[in-house]
Amino acid sequence: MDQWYKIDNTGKIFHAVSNASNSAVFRVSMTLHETIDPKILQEALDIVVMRFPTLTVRVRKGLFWDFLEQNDQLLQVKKESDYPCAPIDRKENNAFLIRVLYFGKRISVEVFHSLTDGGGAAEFLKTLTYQYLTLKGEPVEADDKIMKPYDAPKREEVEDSFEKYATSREVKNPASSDKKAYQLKGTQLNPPGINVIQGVVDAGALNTYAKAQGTSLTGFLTSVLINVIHMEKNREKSKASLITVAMPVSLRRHFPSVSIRNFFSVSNIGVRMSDDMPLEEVIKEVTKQLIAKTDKGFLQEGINRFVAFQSNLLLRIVPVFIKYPVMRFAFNQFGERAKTITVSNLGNIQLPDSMRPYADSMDVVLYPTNKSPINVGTATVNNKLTITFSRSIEENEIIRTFFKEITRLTGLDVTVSSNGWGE
Amino acid sequence: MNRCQECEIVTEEQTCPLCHKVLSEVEQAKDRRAYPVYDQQEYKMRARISKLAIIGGILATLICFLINVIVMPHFLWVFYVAVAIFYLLVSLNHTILSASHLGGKITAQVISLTILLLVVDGMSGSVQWSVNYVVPFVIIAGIMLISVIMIKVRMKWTGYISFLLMMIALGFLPLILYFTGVANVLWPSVSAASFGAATFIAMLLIANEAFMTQLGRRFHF
Repeated sequence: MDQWYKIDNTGKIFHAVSNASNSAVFRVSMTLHETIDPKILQEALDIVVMRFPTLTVRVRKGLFWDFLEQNDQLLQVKKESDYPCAPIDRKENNAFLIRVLYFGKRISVEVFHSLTDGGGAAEFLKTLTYQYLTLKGEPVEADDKIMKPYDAPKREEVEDSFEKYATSREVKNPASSDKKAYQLKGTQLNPPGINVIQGVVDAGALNTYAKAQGTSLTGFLTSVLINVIHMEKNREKSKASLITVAMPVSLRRHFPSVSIRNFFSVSNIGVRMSDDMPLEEVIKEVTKQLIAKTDKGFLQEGINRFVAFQSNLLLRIVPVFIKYPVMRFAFNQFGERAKTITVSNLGNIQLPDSMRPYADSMDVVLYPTNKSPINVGTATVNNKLTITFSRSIEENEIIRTFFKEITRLTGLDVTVSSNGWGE
Repeated sequence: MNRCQECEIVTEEQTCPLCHKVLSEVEQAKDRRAYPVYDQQEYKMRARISKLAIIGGILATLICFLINVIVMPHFLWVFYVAVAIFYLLVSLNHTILSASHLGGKITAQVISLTILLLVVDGMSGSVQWSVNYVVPFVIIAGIMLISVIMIKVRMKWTGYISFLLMMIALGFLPLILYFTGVANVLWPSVSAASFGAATFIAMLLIANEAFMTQLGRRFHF
């Protein structure tokens, strides 16, 4: 009960803005080739929780900031019965902000975003899956691609890397310069919840195609998505022309952090579309922005701005019951209005060679919000790219056209499945 | 695998996940399903209860307002109804239906009950029975209830600290009301503040180190 953690710099925002229509819960899943044994999964989880102390916490209320405290209760694996990324009922979940689910051959980890980002959750899932396979008696061996379950947690793994890597606390440009983007709208699903549509495609072939177009896989998917949104927007006869994809960028790739807590920045890739703009042009613009906005210097500025903002004495001494509504308002009015959709790419997940034969695919599900009712998560494992659309509205034309375009452009088969929520 | 010519995708599902066109007569095997079958009716019902309660409350208040204005415009009794409905909505949506912490439910009850009593007292001619007697004792009851629960739950006592501190702070409200002239009987206000202060000191003495640690965490900035 002695361990406690301040909520990290990014986590504070998620904590302040989450509500019934913005669960701030995301999911990372690993699908194996065999049906999951819940008993063994529970045994594996009991071991792995000790390795990730910052994920097995409960939230406590403070006057100026809430905080996280070690939770000594049992984190139980549960059979999946709810829609993905449903708000975590703390009472039913022994006050944990993370849940481990199984369904068929899939193990899912759903986490409240205040605890960690996709990178941290993926590390947890990899270690859990490794331990599960070990307990099942499979000949898997841990290497430096995963965090070994029995190692003691290191200090660097629980640090707030924003604080560590900030080089200045001076606010040079406090306000975001991102302009208002076109926003997706629709009829809320009945019952309210999250509909998930996943498409699985050959990652290698798609990557080769993207390279031939002079971009990366992320650049290609983003460009096609922007193009599709523009096509659908025209059918609505909307005048707004700036389509912006908010893209979380893991800062661990640019800064030598091994922290399991949140350490990412968001780069907004925005293209002002016109009717005669060909896809090649969109790809060119997206690629240019992707290079510029994932540059270390650009990301460093973001870290500094973020830390400077949260170090502001005025912000710190205001009680949470005033601060949180203000943060929620600012998030909805300024943060959310600058984007059309979020695309989070976990990348090509590295697994130990001995584990790879057991893993079929991996996916990430993002939670939609009121102003961003459709979001996309992508992850690759064993040459299978899973593109997951999550939505809180009935309209699915963008998703339908997106997969159609991928097939039309690349000639690749896209295997689609859905959870059918709200249909 | 089934192919949807319209959407140009392949799927294991019986119908196309995108356009819902039936692609095969053969039902997908249960163990091949990607997601569970949800009981969406239950979710619809849950969402409806909460919404209906709020809409019903607003409607009832509006109807009462109309009747009040037509029948007895010189005495606006509709405020009694409105504040009672507000209290019932808090009780239904927060105290009964929500998964909030028990400490939070008690605190919400004390605050909403205080508002209810203040309005009722104010509407009935401000004889000050609420600020003088009932509110201080409601707050004392709240502090006492949370303290007893903390003793009962032992290991989980730290979860109630924020709510206890909130209630202790609230314990000084009657005293403020007295010194600002809103209340005019001193002893219940002093009792509430003293009870709050005594509880705080008792916590310091009984759980000295742990309580101080908790205070440090609760007030970190």
